[in-house]
Amino acid sequence: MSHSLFLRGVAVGAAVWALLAWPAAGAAQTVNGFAAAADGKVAGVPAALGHTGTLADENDARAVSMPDGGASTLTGQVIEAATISSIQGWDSLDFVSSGASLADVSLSLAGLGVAAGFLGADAVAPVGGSPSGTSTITGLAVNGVPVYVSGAPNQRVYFPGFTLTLNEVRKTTSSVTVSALRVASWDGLTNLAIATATAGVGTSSFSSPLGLR
Amino acid sequence: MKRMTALLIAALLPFAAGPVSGHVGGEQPIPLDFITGGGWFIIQPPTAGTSPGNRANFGWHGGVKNGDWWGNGNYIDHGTGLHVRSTEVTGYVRIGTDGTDPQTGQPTGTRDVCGIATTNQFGTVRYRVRMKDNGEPGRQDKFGISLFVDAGQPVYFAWGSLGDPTDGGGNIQLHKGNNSNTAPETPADCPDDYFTPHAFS
Repeated sequence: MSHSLFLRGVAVGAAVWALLAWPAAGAAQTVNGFAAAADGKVAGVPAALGHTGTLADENDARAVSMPDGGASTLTGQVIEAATISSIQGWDSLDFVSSGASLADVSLSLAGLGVAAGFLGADAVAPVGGSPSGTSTITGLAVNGVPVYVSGAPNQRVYFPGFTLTLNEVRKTTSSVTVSALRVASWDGLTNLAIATATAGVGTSSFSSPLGLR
Repeated sequence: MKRMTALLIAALLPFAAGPVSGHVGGEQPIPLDFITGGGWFIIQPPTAGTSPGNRANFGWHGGVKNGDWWGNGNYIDHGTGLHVRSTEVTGYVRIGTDGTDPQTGQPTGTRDVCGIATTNQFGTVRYRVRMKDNGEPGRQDKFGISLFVDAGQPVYFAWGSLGDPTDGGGNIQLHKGNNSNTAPETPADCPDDYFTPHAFS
């Protein structure tokens, strides 16, 4: 092998290595789904009830059914939570949807008694579309006094030491979280979403140090 | 007394006609999707084992997943105190034809979830639950439940709408399937259909 041929081989090898090593940006399509009868913390202690866990991938479906249950000072009946990926080809007819509901809800906190006949939340995120969601709130009362439910997103009602958010909607371009009711204490120790559902589809960027996808 | 007898006959007459179809399995291909829902409704006539006007709550889901039946559920009749808890799913059936919600583009349709349940009034029963997704919002969705101790007529039968035209709330959602929706090799095992002739399809 001549010296020039050897150098040419080294140069070609270096060029190939450089191409492989060039960081390449890519995009993976992802699903985001979760539902729970309750999720958050009460008096600084994590509290969860009827929790589906998060969707693992586009072929996942998770659901929880419980006749009754309690988390900390919260109780409810006919607890149902589901998060399901309806994705087969990532086309415009595909979507991720989640829902959670419970009946005969009772939450007792210091100086605050919250009751509801039924709380439900639904969230849906279509591929390539705008995510959306709705809540159902029936028979909501605080300390025995009925609370007017306007139906508008993020309706806030204030009580000494606590803020209640009804039909809470937290939305990004790719996902939405709907909670029928959120109870938050002003000291930050209690922050509990009751009947909460999240649905999202999106892309996560990644890079391969070897330039491989 | 005559009036009582007449009322009793009137209440039982709807079930005397018998089901439209017998045990399912082979009526239609098994739908490769899921249905989920939770809500409350006012029980409508006809009924068995309960009374129209009672309030009921439910949370139920069904489908097929990875070659097996998939589902679970709970139900309470606040008028009679009946509690039902699914312990096993034995069938999942499409009823009628599916549609599409013009607002959301999501599928609409009716599914029956069948299985075995424990109750606090009838012991262990076979059940057939009907869930109808009529689109968003869920006010026109419907839920029904029939319980069987032996072959023949249901010991309990109730159904209602989630808010329209009667009081109610909640939502039933039919979910298009994903690649995990493969059908079981065994056919659906469902009690007789009393919903189609007597309540809703």
